[in-house]
This record gives sequence, structure tokens and C-alpha cells, in this order.
Amino acid sequence: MASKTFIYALASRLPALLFLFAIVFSPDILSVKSQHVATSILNTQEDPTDIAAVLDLPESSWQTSTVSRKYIPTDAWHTHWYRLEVDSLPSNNDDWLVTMEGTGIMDLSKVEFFLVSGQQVLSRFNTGGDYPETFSSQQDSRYLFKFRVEKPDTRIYIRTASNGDLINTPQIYSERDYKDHARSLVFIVSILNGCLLGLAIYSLGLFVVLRDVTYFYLGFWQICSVFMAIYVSRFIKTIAPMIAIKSEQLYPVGAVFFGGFFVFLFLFAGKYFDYRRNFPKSVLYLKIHLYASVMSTVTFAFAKPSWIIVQLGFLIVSAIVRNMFVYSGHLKQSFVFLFSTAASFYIVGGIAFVLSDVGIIEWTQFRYFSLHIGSIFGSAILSVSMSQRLKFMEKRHKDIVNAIKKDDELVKLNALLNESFSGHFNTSDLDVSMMFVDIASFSEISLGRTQSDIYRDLSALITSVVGIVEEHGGSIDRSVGAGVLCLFGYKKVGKSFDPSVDAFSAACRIQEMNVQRSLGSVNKIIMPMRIGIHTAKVTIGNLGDQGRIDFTVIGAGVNLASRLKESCSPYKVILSQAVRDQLKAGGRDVERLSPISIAVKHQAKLLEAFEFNPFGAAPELLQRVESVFLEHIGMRSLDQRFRLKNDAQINLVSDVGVFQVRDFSNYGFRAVSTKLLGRQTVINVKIQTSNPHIDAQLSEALLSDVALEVRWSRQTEHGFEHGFKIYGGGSRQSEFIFNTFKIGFAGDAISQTLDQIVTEVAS
Amino acid sequence: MVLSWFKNPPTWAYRLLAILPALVFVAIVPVLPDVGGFDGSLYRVERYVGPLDSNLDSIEVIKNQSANLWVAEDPQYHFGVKGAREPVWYRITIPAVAHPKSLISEVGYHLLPKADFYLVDGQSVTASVFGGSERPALVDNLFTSIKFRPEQSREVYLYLRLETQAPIVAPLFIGDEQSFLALNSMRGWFHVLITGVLIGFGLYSLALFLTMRKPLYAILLVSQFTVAIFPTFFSGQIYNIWPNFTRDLSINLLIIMETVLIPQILIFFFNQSYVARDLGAKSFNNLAKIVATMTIVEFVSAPFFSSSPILIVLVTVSNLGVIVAVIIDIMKWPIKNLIFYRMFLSSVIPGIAISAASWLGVTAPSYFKHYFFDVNAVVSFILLAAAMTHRIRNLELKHRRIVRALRSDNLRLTDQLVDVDLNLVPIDHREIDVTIMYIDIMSFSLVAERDSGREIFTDLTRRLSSLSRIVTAHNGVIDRSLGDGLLCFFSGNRNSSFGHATDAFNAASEIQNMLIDEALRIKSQGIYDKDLLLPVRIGLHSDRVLLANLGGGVRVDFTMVGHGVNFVASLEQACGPFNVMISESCYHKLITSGHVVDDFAPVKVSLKYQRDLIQAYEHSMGMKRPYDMKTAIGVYFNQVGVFPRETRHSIVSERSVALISNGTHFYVLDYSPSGMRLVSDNYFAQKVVMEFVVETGVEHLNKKLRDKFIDRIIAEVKWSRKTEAGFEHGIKLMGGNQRQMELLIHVLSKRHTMPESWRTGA
Repeated sequence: MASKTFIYALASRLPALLFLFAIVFSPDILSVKSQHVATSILNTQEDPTDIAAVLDLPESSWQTSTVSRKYIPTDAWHTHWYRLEVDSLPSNNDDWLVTMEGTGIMDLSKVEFFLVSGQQVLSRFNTGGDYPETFSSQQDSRYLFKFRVEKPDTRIYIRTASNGDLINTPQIYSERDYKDHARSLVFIVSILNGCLLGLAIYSLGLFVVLRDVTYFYLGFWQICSVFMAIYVSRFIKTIAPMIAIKSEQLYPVGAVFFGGFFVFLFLFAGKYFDYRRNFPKSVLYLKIHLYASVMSTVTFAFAKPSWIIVQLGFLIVSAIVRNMFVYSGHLKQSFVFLFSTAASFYIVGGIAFVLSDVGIIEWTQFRYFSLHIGSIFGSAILSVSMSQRLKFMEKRHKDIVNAIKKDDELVKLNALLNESFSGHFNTSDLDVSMMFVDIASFSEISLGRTQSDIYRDLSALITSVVGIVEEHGGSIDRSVGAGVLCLFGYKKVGKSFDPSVDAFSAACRIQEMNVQRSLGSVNKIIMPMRIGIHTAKVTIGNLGDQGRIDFTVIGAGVNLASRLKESCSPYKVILSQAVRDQLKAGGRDVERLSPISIAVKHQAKLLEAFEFNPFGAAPELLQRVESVFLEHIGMRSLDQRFRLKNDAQINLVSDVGVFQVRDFSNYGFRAVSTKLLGRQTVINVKIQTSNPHIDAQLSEALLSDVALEVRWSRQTEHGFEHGFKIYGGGSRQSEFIFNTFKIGFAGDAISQTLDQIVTEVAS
Repeated sequence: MVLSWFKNPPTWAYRLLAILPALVFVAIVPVLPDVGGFDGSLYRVERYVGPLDSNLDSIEVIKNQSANLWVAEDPQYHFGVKGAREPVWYRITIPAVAHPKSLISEVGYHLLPKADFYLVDGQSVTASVFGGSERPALVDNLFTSIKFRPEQSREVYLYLRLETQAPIVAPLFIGDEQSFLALNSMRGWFHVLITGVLIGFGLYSLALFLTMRKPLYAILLVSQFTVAIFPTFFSGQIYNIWPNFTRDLSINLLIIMETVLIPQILIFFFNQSYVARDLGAKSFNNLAKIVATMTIVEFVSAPFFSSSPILIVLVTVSNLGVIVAVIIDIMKWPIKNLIFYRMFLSSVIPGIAISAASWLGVTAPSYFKHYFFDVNAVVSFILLAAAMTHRIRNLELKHRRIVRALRSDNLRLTDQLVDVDLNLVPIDHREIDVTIMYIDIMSFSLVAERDSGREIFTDLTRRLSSLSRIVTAHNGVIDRSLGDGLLCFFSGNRNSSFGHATDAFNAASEIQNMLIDEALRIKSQGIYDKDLLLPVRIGLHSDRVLLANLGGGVRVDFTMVGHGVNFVASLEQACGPFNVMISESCYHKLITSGHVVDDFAPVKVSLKYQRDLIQAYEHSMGMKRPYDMKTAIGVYFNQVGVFPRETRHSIVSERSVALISNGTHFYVLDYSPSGMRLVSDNYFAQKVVMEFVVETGVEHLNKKLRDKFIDRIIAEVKWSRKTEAGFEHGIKLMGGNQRQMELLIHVLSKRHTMPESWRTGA
């Protein structure tokens, strides 16, 4: 497994590794016919600004140049003096040109050339980045000085001034060689920049047509890379020499585009990888990082070079770390793979350029273009992925049409119409509130009705539920049978939120809505709902394989939420302990929540939960809606029930508490207690009555201990009322028990109230 | 108001938009600055129109020709040099200036075979430059230029002698050194940058081709790379990196003309695959044939015309002809869908026309007009790419409208939305006959207890996808996953040659067989710790269900709605490992389609919401693979850690104690305090709860039970299986209390044998 991941990781970077190989081992592609002359650099603490002072310096101040290229960013201005012994040049009818250039990162602000014979200055020329007018007619970005060697002991002195410590080697060409060389260089720079521009324009064009912001970010990411490339290749001097800004203003502009490159990269990746859905937990950090990057980028316009360098380091490292985090383990997805391939091209090209530009590795023309080449390959590879998106859109439409045409494929529309291109490729553990809403007794309700009638009402009801859930910031995970599973705290992740409060408020609204609905219209099928809410850490991700998207949550918490819902009585809400705690922490009044014990499958211990009756303040409303429901499903048959005689008492003693029987029928008891038990809970009780004779009778029949199942339960002014039924045993056992009780304790026969029946029916 | 206008603009706005590129192009050309020309009001230009033979064709003679043989070129416009097979002489009058500065004059066309400059001051030739593509060594630039200085007191004359093979107009530059260098610099990057941009486009098209794999993108890619050649070749910049490239005008011309034909093929392909297919426009097909034929004819015949202007005319005419024909045809089709394509076409004609007119001298030439096609190529390709993408955008819009339609109540989809004739089918719900399958992974909670969230997810995904692959392979559709279960259905209306019941049954059998194979593998490799075998329960039911959207207006969520769905879930609950539980309706369908009755064991199943037991049929893998099934169950029990923990007591004679329920006799095989193993002739599924009457076969024992009300017990079937002796059931007693159990065991013990070990010991 691990080795497979490694292979993917390697394969995605392989093209960039080949590129790196080419960068390291390729010969210098553009042969430069420069003349070699002895070159020295002034090595002294003083900083003479005057040529006369320089000429007076002793020979010992001069040091043969060994460094070919060096740039150390500092915030100070540095000047350097170079001396070229041009006497050794071959005789030439043509003019000679000495060229001086800065690095791609930092230009030379001032370059002063002096042609000196002995101690006499024959001619001089001041140029540099601060004097755009002096190089406006040149094709490439170098600073030139034209000279002829006509007198003995001719030397050329060059003084450079730059922001930061910058050393470069002056080159000498014959004018014709230089022109050839410059022309081909301009050709290559133009074509490389043009390529990048073309890719960027295409992306922006796609944005205009598709109006998908992903392409917008991609386009601007590429535009930033174009400007970066134009900046480091000094192409701006070629295409618009007159608007070329002074060098100390140019580098912040370059830096801002460099920062913009990262900002748009992050924005793009956010859409591309669908951070919100795939990394819901990290969205906040990713956003903070994005804002930090934006801030850095803005400060670039004012910052000193050293500060820019520090922040760029931060941007580069954090971008790599960030992407690594996003890719990790997902390189099997082709779009992640392509992104990784593209990014590694940018990284390799960028690093090779910077290292050679500041002289850490040997500078070659190819390495000088590596930023361009890396960006072009990166963009081109990314455009493969963007094309896949187009293909996805095209294919999706075909699939949609097919799905609509064929009856049985309608379910495929779920994924086709709901999911985005990247879908979900990551699973994340997240604290959410899960709310199960479903219709109690749905099977009974649907008996005897047509499926379309059921659907019509079910669909309308679910629409209302979904509307309420959305209003409260929840999202629908899926419809499950005759209900929905909703998640709270998933959409709003990263912001300050209280999913439990949201879920609870939504649940109350849903029950209110449902009561209104039931009372409102005679035409509608009445569908009482029950709701269970639980807050827990769950895993969210895509369960489907490659051909199918099936985004859902799993975890023990989901099952618990489902169980809470099962135990819930119609028109009520059951909350877990965790939800109650959060409500309490959120300042909600939890006094109205009644503790309730619930039986959980495979667990001996009862689970403590809380029941909430949204109509606690308006019990008559609940009663009315229950009676409407009962009438609706045509419930008429009532058991005969018997109230206890005045002095009689039957207590059901269990581990969880004592239940006092109020009345009983031929099948079960109605008993009150201080303890609330959830539906379907089975407890073992010992029957203790006020009549020892009857107790003895039961004991004799081995029936003083019985198992009881809770059929319904609710809160009344006397305490918690439960409807119990004898669990298991045999029909003769219950017959004996209730006959014994009838003889011993029965007072008046009473008719069952509607609300008791409804709770029983709904079980 | 304004917003809605923009959202749904009237047709005339679309028409305007369609011709906008053409309008913009035509509008900007006159106001373009001309870097390559000169000020016509400063310099008088005349062309020699007198006789010209070898005697006359020299500067010494021509400078003395009388003034009436020189005809003024229109000074309002920039100067163009009309080359011909014969040499042409021009005379430029350089006026006197107060403060003379060096000037440079240049013929900015690199394929002129010969271009000579002579500066004549009074009677003497003071300077001369001999250049042209046939004499490249004489100039250090691509173009022939002369540097000179006007006089303070008198006019001087610049004579220009040109030789060329084609009637092409080249711009003449006269200006100071600074602006000449600027021009030169601009030429050096501008054309190449355009080439770069087009290559960039080409890279994108390459990406599109690699993913879409349609010929259209291949030809687009080729066109873009071909057109990318234009700016550098046509401006001569190619010599900067390829100095030895031929300077023969006719070969250059041929290359250019041949490459022009490739975009023509692009239009052909575009019409074929985009317009014709998407809009069903038949008329494009004929047009496309004409274009294709014409292109091939031109492509093949071009070399024969290489040095003749006919070629240029032919290609230009055919290119324009194609575009005009396409435009005429395209007018028939709704403009909304083709807006970008129409913009593309409207940008191509003026672009090409502006350049061609400038080159051919039809209009006054200028540098920007000459190379206008550079800009035009970029704009056109953007518009073409937009046209291609717009199609996808249209599909996306349709898809959004479908979603909107599905989210709103009772909206019917029109066929226009989905390109098919749906006859206005309501798609929010449909009623179809299906076999529903519910698969549930047993004991998945074991994995859930053991692993972390992400691992559970991976494990579940793996298990579910191996199940869904089989379902899909049998033409089944996954409705949804429900925790560790899958709800699927089979409708049998696709490639299936069987009914949906058979499809479902086959899928179910394959799933169970796969799991048994998996169990055998685990056993044979002894990897109990590594791979956890989790069997599945499967329920099958054939019914008519609604396939309906329960998305609640926010999302699209189609699912099955109906009684059958609830039913199948209960059915699945009654199923044992490695078995398939089949409803009566599904069973009948299977029998009708030729399955053998013996493959299915009738079994009684209880439903959650129904009091009566219902009839169902069980298909067990044990019928065909009894031994493997036993092994599989063994592996499962081994892994989940189920071992008999209680002492079980056997009954003396197999049929001595009976439990009677629903008219069926269940004979007790053995028992423990919590349950019994029974055998009977009828088959009841797990989860069935029944009340049994206990018949010990001995009256006083029966009475003992009766006295304490335990002659009737309620129990749930925990498992059941078919054996040689009949159907074995494991039941668990429900309710009751300790003392009752003790009595029951006491009674049963009167009927049980000694444990095996005692007997052997004795």
C-alpha cells in the first residue's frame, strides 16, 4: 500500500525530475561568442565614486575576479568597480561592445562605463536601470558600452550600483556577434513569454465563456507567472523601454506579482480541490494562510528586499507544505496527479532559476530560462486537467440525458446533478450534529394508499423539512426511507457555530411545521414525525468508487442518532447527552428536557438521553393533532382498561426505578415513575402489590418477576407515564396476571384516551 | 430591468455582437499608429514610369531622366513599393533642414531579392547600399537600409531600385536613428511574441486533444501551430535564429500559402463536428465537402503556381469564399448558440482582408496593416476556442435548468432541454417494475470498533464497491448506501436478456459465491488476522415502485419510494449469512423464467409492522456448495469470535419433546438456559417471533409446565438452516424470569440423555 503511494508520488514528479536532469546536465544551449579578457574587481573598504580616485588606487586593491555571478539581498546599496584589460583584444575593424547586466531578480540601478587609457579617461557612459532613456533603442536588457581600442594601455572601468550586493561578469563582444546573439535571445524570450501569455489568455477566455471562477483564478495565476517571467527576463525593457520604471520601483512590482502568483495559486487550488468539501476541518487554516499570503503580497509594494526574501521563503515553503497536505494519499486521482506534476515543474524551474540567478549554481542560458520553461510545462500540464473538467462537463450532460431517458437510471442523476468535478476524494473526521427525521408508522400510514399519493405528500413534507434545515444552516446528507439525515456544523465549519443549537432549533421548527400541516388541511395524509439528534465525531467522505459518487457520513454516532430517532415519540425530539451539554453551554434552557432511558441494541445498559416536547406549553395542540391522526388512520378499536381500586396499589420495581401502575388492560399497564424510559426498552420488574395474597399467588405461579417492554412514554403532570406490555412469556402468563389483577384491583373500566392510543399505534 | 435585458438580450443585440469584431477591426485600422512608415508630408516620393532597359537601368542614367517620367505617389498615405519582375525605380526627395540629423531609410521587406539605395546630392552619388535577400551578406540587418544626413541648404535625392517576383507592397521607412532602432526592436519581439501566444494556445489545444480525443481538437492544434509560424516567417524574424533559412520568395510564399490551407480544413472540421452534429445542420455537410475538395486541390496544385500571383489570389479567394459560404449558411441557425462562432467568422474576414489589401497595394499599406493578421490570428483563435467552449457552457446551462426543473414542483422537462424527444415526461417521479435488492454487511460494527474513522471508511468503501461492481455488472442500479447496506434495484430493461428478477438473483448468487471464495482463500492462506470476512444478507423483492425525487427542493435525490422498499428491508433482516431471501413475487418471476423450484426453500418470515408471518423463499449457497459454505461459516465464526459458550443438553430421542406453533411441530434437539435447537418440517426465518406450546410427550411433565404457565413460551428464531433431517432452528426465549427457566430446564432434563462423555466413560 505504502509502496503504491510512493510510486504515484514519484510518477507524478517524474517529468519534473527529467526537467531537473536537463537543467543540471544540459550544455549551454546558446553559445556566446564573447571575448575573454582579464577582469578584476576592486576590493577595498572605501567606496570611491570618482573614476580619478579609482585610477589612483594601488594595484593591490584589485583582485582578479573569480565570481561570475553573485547576488546577496540586503537592504543597503552596494557599488562595485570592475576593471577590464581590453588591450588583449584582437585587432578588429568593428566596434567592441562591453555588456553589463544585473540578475533576473535584481537589476543594476546604475552602470557607469569608463574607457581609460593610462590615467586618461577617453570616454564615459552612464546608464543602468535608473536611466531607461539610455537603453530604449536596445533589443535586450543588457547595458552596453561601445568602444574601440586605439590607444595603448586601454582599460575599461565599470562602476555598478545596486540594491543589495550584486556582482556579475562584464562580457565583451564584437558588435556584430552581439547583435546576432541579442536577436536570438530576444527571439527566445519573446516566444517563451508569448507561450505563457497564450496559456493565460486561454484560461481567461474559458472563464469568460464558462463563468467558472476556477478558470479565473487559474488565468490570473498564469498572468502572474507571465509577469514574473517578464520581470526576471527584463522583457519589459524590450517591449516598453519608455515606460520601464526605475529599478527600485520595479522590484516591488515584480515581488507583488510573485506574491500574486501564490495568492492566485491558493485561490485556484481552493476551487480545484474543493477544500470546503474535502478538507472541511482545515478550511479555516487554509483561509488564514491565504489571507496571510494576501497581506504579504500587499506589503511587497513597500517592503525592503530582505523582508521580501523572508516572506517569499514563507510563501514558497508554505505553498509546498500546503500542496503536500492536499495531495497526500490522493495522487491516484488523475486531477491531483496532474496538479502535482504541474506544481513540481513550477518548483523545479523556479528553484533552478533562482539558484543560478544568484550564483549559487553555475549560471547558464538554459537555467536562465528554466523559470519560463517550468511555467510553460506546468501550465500546459494543468491545462490537461482543465480540459478534463471540460470533458467531465460534456460527459455529464450526456449521462444526464441518458439518465433522464431511461427510467431506471434516474438515481444516477443524484450524483450527476449534485456533485462537482472534483467531488470528494478525501475523508475527514468532523464534529457535527446529526439529525434523523422520519415519519413514524410510515408502513401503516402507507398501507392502502397509492404510491403516488404517498410520494406527493412525502415529497412536500420533505421539502418543508429541508427548507427548515437549510434555514438553520444544516445540510441534507440523504433521504433515508421515509425521512432524511441532516448534518449541522458541516457547512459552517471553521466559523464560530453551535451545531447542536442549530439542530435543536430546526427540530422544534420541524415539529411545529408538521403540527400546523396536520391541522391545516384535510386533504393531506397526516405524517407524524420523530426526530433524534446526536453530536459526535463522524467521518465524512465518498463511499462510492470511481464510477459513483456517494458522499455520506459514517460512524458510531450515526447509528446512535438513528437509535434516538427510533425511540422518539411522534411530534417529539430526543437528544443525546452530548447535545444537551452543548445546549446548556450555549445558554439554552435545558430544564424542559426530560431525561429518558433508552435501550440500545447489543448493550445491556440503558442509554441516558433527553426528550423534548416542543408543545410542552400547548399540550392541547398536541392532543388535537394526535386525535386528528388517529381519526385519519381509522383507529377505533379500544382496549378495555381498568383503573385501580382506591386503596389498591401495584408497583413495578426495577433496577431503574419504581413504576406505579395507574391502570391496566388485558395486555399491559399504564404506570408512572420519576424516570422516563424510551420506547422499545425492555426492563425486568418485580411486581409488588398492596395485596400480599395476590403477591403470593403470583409468586406461586412463578410470575412475580416479568419482563416489560415500553410501548410508549410521555410526560404528564404526575410524572412520566409509560405504556408497558409484557415482553415474551406466553399468552397464558399475561392472561393469568391480568385476570388476577382484575379480580384483585380493578375499579371502573375506563375507555382509553386518544392520545394513549396514538402513541401506541405509532410505535 | 437592465439585468434581465443582459440575461436575455434581444436578437439584434446578438447580431451586433456577432459582427463586433469586424467593426472593431475596421474601426481601429485607420487610427493605428504607424511605426514603420514615414511622414508623407515631409518627403516627396515619385515612381519612374519611363522606358527601362538594360542601358537605362543604372543610377547614373536614371537620375538624369526628365521630371515628367516620374509620377508622384500619393503623399497622403504611406509609401508602398510595388515590386515587379522588372526593376522599379523610386525617387524620394529629402528636403533641406536647418539642423540636419542622421536619417535612416529602410525597405522593410526581407524577401526582396534586390534592394539598392543611392543618395544623390546634386549630380554626385554620395552614398549607396546594395541589399536584398539575394545578397544577405551585405547587410547586417534583415532589411536593407541606408543612413544619411539631409543638407542644410539644398534638397538631396534618395533613389531606390527594387527587384521582386511578386506584386507585393513593402513599407518604406524614413526616420531618425532613434525611431528606427525602436522599430527594429519592436519587430524583434512583437511577431515572435504573437508566435509564442499562438503556441501557448496550441498547447492548450494539445491538452484538449489528449483528454477529448476528438479529431476536431487535433486539427485545431495543428492549425494553431501552423498559424503560429506565420508571424515569425512572414516578418522575417525567423532568420534571427535560423539565418540559413531560404530567402527565396517563391518557396517562402509556397510555404505560407500551403499553411493557410490548414486552418481552412479546421473550419471544415469545425462545421462537421460542431455545427453539423450539434445543430443537425445537413447543409453544412455539402459545404464541408466543397471546402475539403477545394482545399485538397489547392494543396496539391500549389507548388505549380509557386512563383505566380495566381497562387495568392487562389488561396485568398478560396479562403474568403469558404468563410463567406459558411457565414451565409450559418445565418440560418439560431444565433444564440453560435454567437462565438459567428464572432470568430466575422473577425477572420476583416483581419485577413486588411492584411491582404495592404500587401497587395489595394489600400495604402502600413506596417500594422501588413501584419494585422498577427493580431487577427490571436483574436480569432480566442473566439474559436470560446465557440468550442461555449458549446460546453450551453450544456452546463441546460444541466442547471434541469436541476432547477427538478427542484421546483411539477415541472416537466421539455425535449429542448435535453436534446431528446421525451414527450414531456414528468421526471420528478416514475413508476417502474423492478426487483429490489437490499444488501447488508453483517457484523460491520466489528470493523467500526476496531479501526479509526478513515480506516473504517476505506474498509467500507472497499466492501461496498466490490458489491456494487457485481450489481452493476448484472445491470443493477445502486439506489443508495445506507450505512453498511446497499439499496439497489434491477429493472431489466437494458442490455439484460433475462428478466430483472433473474438479474437480481444472479447478482445475489455471485455476491454470495464471491464471499465464500473469499472465505476459502482466507482459510487456505491462513490470514484470519489480516482479512476480515464479513458475510452479507441479501433480500430480493419484485414490485412496482416509484422512482422519485425526494431532494426537497434543495438537491436532487432520486430514490425508490413504495411499500416494496420497506418490505425488502425486513426480508433482508430475515436472511442468514451466505443465503438470499427472496419474496414470493420475486420467486414466482424466477420460476416463470426457468429456475428450478428445488433451488428455493419456502420459509416463513415475520415483518416488523405485520402480525402474520408471510411466505418467502430462501436460496442457500449451501445447496450447491455445502462443504464450502460450512467452511465459510466456520471462518466467519472464527473471526468474529462466536463459540458455543453454554453447556447444551441433548434430548434422548430426537422426537420426544416438541414445541408446537402455527400447526408446526418443532422437535427439540438440544437446549440451554437461553435457547433451544429445534428441527421441523417447515422453515422459519430468523427474527420470526412465535408462541410455542411445549409438548414433552409425558403428561405429568406437561401438567407441571401448565401449572406454572410455562406450557406456552414466546421465542424468537435466531437462526435457521436446512439440514438432512429437516429445517433446524435456533430459538431464543423472550421474557420470562429465572425461576420459570429453572423449572423449564428441570422438566426438559427429565427427557435428556447423559452427556456423550459420561456414556463413553461408563
